[in-house]
Amino acid sequence: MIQLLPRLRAFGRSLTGAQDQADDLVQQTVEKALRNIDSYVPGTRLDSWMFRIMRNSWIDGHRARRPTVALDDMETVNPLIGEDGRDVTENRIYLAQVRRAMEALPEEQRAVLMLVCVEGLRYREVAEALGIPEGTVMSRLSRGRLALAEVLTKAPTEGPATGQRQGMTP
Amino acid sequence: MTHETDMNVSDEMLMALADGELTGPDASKLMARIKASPALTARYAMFTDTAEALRQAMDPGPVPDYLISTVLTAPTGQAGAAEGPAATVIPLRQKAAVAPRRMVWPMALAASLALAVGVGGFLTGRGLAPAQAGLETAAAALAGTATGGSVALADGSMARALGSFDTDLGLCRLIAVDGADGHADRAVVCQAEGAGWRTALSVTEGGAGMFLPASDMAVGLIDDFLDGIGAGAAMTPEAEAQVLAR
Repeated sequence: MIQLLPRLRAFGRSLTGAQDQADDLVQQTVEKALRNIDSYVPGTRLDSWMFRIMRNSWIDGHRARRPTVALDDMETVNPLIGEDGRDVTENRIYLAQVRRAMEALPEEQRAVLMLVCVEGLRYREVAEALGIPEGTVMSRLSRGRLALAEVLTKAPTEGPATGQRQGMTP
Repeated sequence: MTHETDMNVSDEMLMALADGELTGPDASKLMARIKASPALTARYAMFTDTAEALRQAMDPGPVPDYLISTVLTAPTGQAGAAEGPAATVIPLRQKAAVAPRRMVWPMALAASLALAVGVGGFLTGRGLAPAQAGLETAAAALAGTATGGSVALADGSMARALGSFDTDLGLCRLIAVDGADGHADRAVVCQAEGAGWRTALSVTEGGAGMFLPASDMAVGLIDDFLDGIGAGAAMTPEAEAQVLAR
């Protein structure tokens, strides 16, 4: 289960939109899973089983309380401090745009993007874990990416980030 | 010429390559074609750039220690795991053993205000309502105290933490308040969202002179109530420390 934690955190993040909330959700999920470990069928995928628990917990407990989404997790940004100030600011703004763009995506697309691009899972693993066909993983992945790319090419990554629309090659 | 072959390369293939799904000779061949074609390079870059942007923007960082310790220490299986029964039962049963001479007044079990209102006039001196406010104060006083610990309250009574539970109502604790005048309250208090502690169930064990059945009845009721709100085994000291610290 410890090995699954990174995957659970990524999946949690795709549900909650913010890492600290995701980690709370992961904790609840782990506790629930262990409490109900009897209902886990050995030989089936533990990650899919836990994803289901997490998804249900999220729907039960949290969804109603939206939106409390932090656009910018300080923790993620902190490691950048100490680099060139201007670059850091721009990079930071760019990363914030990526996060915002992710939040705007449908939950299903976010989940596959997190698991493939951030966690580095194979398509087949994601398909099994989420209980969807591999073709669906690919189409969600591709649609989510196109949407992201569209947002990001509109947003400037060079010069002062004022949010003006200007052409840019990625 | 390049244009024609470019058209044969689907987005799926480019994406598969970018995500490491495509390997071996196929991957090398495709990579060579991408290098040879600016159009393919741009299309391919869309997939690698988005992946890279996500990796940076969504990097969750290392797994926090508390999550690892949750996996290691959270109670497993309500029913039958090896160390489960002991952990599940003892905190509650011990309570009966600790206070065998106390008498229980079953009617006072009702935590509901309805009962308090209904018989409020009948009760003299120590009404239910003030007692409950006291329980919440006691719960707040115990907020930093682990199971087994106790805290002296301002009015001279002693509050004890008997167990913590993860329930459908959130974090709940079983506490006991022994009044300086001999009365004793046992309560399940649950953490309210941003508003301290609320009494979910309280049982008053009366002072001298009350007619009562065995105190096991209170224990049974509290057990039933805890089951009813989905409480599992009492939290381990580590898990408890974790939630109390937050």
